[in-house]
Amino acid sequence: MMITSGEELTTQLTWLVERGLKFGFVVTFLLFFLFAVVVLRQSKLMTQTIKTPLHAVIRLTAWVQLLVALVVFLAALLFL
Amino acid sequence: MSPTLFDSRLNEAQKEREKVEQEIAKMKEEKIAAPGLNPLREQDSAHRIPPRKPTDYSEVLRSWGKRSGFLSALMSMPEDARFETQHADEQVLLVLRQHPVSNVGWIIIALGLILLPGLLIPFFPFASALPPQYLAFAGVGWWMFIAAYVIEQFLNWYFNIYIITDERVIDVDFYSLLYKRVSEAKTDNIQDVSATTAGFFGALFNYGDITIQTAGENREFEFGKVPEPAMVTKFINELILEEQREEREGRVS
Repeated sequence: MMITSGEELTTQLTWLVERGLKFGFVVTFLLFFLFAVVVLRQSKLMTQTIKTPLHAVIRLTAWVQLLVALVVFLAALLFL
Repeated sequence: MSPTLFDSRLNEAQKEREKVEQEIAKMKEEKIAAPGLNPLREQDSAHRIPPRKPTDYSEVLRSWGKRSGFLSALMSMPEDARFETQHADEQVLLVLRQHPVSNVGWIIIALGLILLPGLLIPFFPFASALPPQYLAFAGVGWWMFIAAYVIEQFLNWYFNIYIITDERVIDVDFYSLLYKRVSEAKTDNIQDVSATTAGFFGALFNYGDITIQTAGENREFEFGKVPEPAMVTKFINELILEEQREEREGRVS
């Protein structure tokens, strides 16, 4: 397809930037989700290594982080 | 008695004897394998003297008393601290982690990251041209990044611990959540302990590094930035002396 006017060029560039941004956001949130999975797995390992009263709080934080990361990743897929 | 009958009785007696000998050997093995029993004195249980309480031989533990807390960097005789490879009769005497002051660096970085968007947005006027949902997701992403950074740094501090029990010294290292290393040395393998306090903050908040030289596989242990390094060194020396005394007196350890 040939770009024949300046307006068309602007439209094409805007589309390209938006797609690029969407791709960037989705990949970033996917990485956050993977990081949250690692934190959850490692927090289990760490709390097994040494048992402390903070065990439950750490596990809860790891789960909350995982859920937030999942929700944001799905929201980015749906709304961007 | 006919020879045949004699032979059969002899065989029976031999079998009985072998059975008894096997049972005795089995009992001996079990006794030697039993935890807390000195095999050298297994035949004379009257010589076995129970181990002394840590507060009986350690002046440092007496002065510290029982110290514990969720975020404490020095916990002496904590009742609720347990670790993966702890023996049934092993007592945790000291749990150490880096002094809380060592967290100041990443806390300042986290505060800087919180303030950074407010400082940088005036330099990026095109940001306002973006659709609102993109800006919202950028904000959420930034806060998630800060949360991930804080969680990672906190877990690294909280779970990099040094445990001293009445039997051994254990160093648990977690690097960047992906690498875990647990090294340990028995108290009787420790050859030399030294403490170093360096720098302005080290002198001000009384924290420093402790280096433990051992005769075992892991030649050197380093406890980094632990509080009260001189007292911890003295405590480890008390443990070594007690271990030597136990060995001399043939006490159960």
